[in-house]
Amino acid sequence: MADQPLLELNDLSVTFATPAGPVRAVKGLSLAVAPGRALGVVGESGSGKSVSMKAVMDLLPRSAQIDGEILFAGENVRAMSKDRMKHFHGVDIGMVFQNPMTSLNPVKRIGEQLTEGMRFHQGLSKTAANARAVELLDLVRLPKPDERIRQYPHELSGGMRQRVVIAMALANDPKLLIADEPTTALDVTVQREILDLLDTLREELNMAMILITHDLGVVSDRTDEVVVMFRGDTMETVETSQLFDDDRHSYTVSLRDAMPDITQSRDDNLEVAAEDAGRHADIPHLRDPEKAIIRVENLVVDYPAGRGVFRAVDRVSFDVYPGETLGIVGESGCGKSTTAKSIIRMPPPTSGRIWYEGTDLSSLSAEELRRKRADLQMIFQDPISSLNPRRSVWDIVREGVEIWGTSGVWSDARLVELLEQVGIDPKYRDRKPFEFSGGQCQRISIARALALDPKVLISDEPVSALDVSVQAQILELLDELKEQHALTMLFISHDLAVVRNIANRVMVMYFGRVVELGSTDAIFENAQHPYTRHLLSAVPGLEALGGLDSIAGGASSDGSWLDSERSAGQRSEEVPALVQCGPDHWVAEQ
Amino acid sequence: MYIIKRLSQMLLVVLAVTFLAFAAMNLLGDPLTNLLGPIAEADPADLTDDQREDLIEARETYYLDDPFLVRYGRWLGDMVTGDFGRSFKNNVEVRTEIANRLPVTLFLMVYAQLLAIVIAIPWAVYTASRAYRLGDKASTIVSFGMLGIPVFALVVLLFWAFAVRWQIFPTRFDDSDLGSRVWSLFLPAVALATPLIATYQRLLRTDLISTLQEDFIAVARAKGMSNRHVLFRHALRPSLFSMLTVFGINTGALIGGSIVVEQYFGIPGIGRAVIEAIIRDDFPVVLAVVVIVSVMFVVINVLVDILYSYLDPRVKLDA
Repeated sequence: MADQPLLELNDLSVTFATPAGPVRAVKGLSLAVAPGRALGVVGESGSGKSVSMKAVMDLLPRSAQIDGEILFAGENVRAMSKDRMKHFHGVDIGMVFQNPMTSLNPVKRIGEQLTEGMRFHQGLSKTAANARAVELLDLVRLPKPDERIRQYPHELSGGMRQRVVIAMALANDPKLLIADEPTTALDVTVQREILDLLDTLREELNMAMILITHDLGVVSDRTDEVVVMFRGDTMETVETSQLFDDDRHSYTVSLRDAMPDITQSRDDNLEVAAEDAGRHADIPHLRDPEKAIIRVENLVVDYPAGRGVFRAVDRVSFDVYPGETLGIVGESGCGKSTTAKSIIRMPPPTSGRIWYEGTDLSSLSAEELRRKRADLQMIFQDPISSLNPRRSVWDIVREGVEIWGTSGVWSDARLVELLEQVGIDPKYRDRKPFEFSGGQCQRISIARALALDPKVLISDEPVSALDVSVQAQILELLDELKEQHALTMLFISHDLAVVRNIANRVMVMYFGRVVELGSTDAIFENAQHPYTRHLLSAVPGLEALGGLDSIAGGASSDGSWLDSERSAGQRSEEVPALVQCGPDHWVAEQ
Repeated sequence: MYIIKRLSQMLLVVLAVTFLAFAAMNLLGDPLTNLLGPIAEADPADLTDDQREDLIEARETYYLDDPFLVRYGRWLGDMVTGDFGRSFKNNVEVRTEIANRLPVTLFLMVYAQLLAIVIAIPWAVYTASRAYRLGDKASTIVSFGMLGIPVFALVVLLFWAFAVRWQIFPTRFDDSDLGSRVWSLFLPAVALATPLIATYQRLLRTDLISTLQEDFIAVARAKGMSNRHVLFRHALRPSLFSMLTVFGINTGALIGGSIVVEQYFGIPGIGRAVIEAIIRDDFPVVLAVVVIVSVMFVVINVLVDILYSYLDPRVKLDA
């Protein structure tokens, strides 16, 4: 009976009772997934995609009221007895959650967490369950499984932990795997590994899968059918192969259009240079180190780690030119944030020199440095936690001006203008941050940074926590403001597509070192370093765009450089020199 | 390595406490007055020869002519060998006095702490799993009541109700065998435990509620584990930190509580001894108790720190 759906939702609604009245989080969702098939559920935050799956898993708080039908292989889930329900959750369905860092109990060994389900549901003995746990860890391609089961979660990396979570979900041979944003918290290369793993396992074990994600790129590569949701409503259900067709629902089209396009270069990259060659020397041979607004030479940042130190940034040198946006990309832990933040001496560099407009920042007294800081402002990743929740928007934006006293260039009228520029209606200036959405909070953060009339804006993953449509708006805003305020920007991101859309030049970092540096077009169209190519090849949705070849041209991605780096476990003593390989393109020697 | 480091820190704390206590006792009262009464303060010219000899003898016996620091050093040296000197009151060795009185107080403290934990943990788990519902709200009222009632009032209440009115428990401390010891110490232990129960319940409940919102709890539920398993096997251990911290700190406060309780129930423990000693300025006894309490306090808090790393493998025993 291949036609009988495994899981079927008919007209499912979820309503939360809140003090402000009932909120309908899911409105009449219907979907079906057949055995062995993969269904994507796509939507932005608040679309109800996770809530609907939590309804299936009975993980909603008591304030949630569920209506409609949930059928599993024809059986009414909502009418199940308590014991049948436990079996349904533990055996019929496996679930993988978003954040591998928090999905495992920190105080229990991996083995215990893996086996408890098997022992509870299958009544396996401790030895049998342990043997099976080792088998499972092997299945999810975790090296040395028999050692892993004795380890605690904190001894494993994020990617490894997500493999454990997947192994846990597979423990009782589920027929259906529900994966709720399984790779959102992971680096792009790890994301690809995990998604590949899910694909392979699905085939090996003939499982059905529901993949919940905000990322159209991810579903386009990995599913047979997609449900698109928006604010609790189902927009459409569509075969994945037709997802990017033009006659799709207008919301699907707008989602697609909001996705930063990794194949698209900034069209103004050269225009700007031509218009204003004096300020924006984008033509490489005109680039004169004397004109750099920031020069970084042999920057080293060490963090204390146990008895020794961890070298987060290892002898990094680069220049930033007035008016440009330098994108810094790399995976978590590569030192990209530390590099940018050490320019404002947070943390102060361990060694190396940083010049800002010709002044060596390390030579300044605390007071002089404090004055310079007005020139160098930051915006952060998490828009909500970077604003003081007890202060009004107006206080937040004005604070810097107050600290700098009357010498501040902004009058109240100009602050109002600034709020308008970032798209916050000044009549809401007395509201507190929690009354705004994430995107609006990020706008307030930007206004706060700009209130001091800085020359350099350091943006640390400013759009990573935002929905794709909001992300597009914020990127556009940053771009506009950069022009209006004649800003130079350092833009740190793990998202290559975003960087392609905003940066003029890109610096790729790996393990505390620069591996490639060049104009955005050179990096994306003619990546030279194997690590850069590896990063590019992992971008989700690449399949739909025609694969890596179509964007980076020619040579395939070869994992061997990375493999040998990883197996070496440590860096070479010498920093590989950057060799020029194009007009505005340098690559580290391998 | 860690233990050695902590033990040496601990030693410093105890040294500091003893020094402060020794200084306070010496500055607040003249030991001679306590020993010999008014003659110590009278003009030597008015004294008889016998009295003068007593005075000189006392000065020599207790080395009172030595400078303060020398006396402290001497006392410390004796103390380390277990010699706490003799009581000013009856010339009994302080060591014997302590050895007679300490066990029952320790027994009472352990009793009260055990009682508190055994009651507070299930209660907290119950309320956290039903947070903000009727049972939890009622529990909140009860636990604030338990925190609010002063020990001396509670003691009177318990005593009247269970020992006098219904005569379930004996009115006097009975040390004839272990059974009657446990039985007769039940009311005192309850009196000591009551505020502890409420404190532990409040702390553990709050921590549990936040743990229950963690992703790994949802993961455990999604694995189809039973509610009891999720609560006790997954949520409890990572939630014990605040409670454990306060457990350690309470050890000092419990001695204070036991003074009242021992007095009321006529238990011959250290609490009563220290009250009498303070009133009489019997400072060898007071100092001995200070040393014992501070050593106990420090030892228990080191144990609590070691327990942290057992509860959470991410906590490393260094720094």
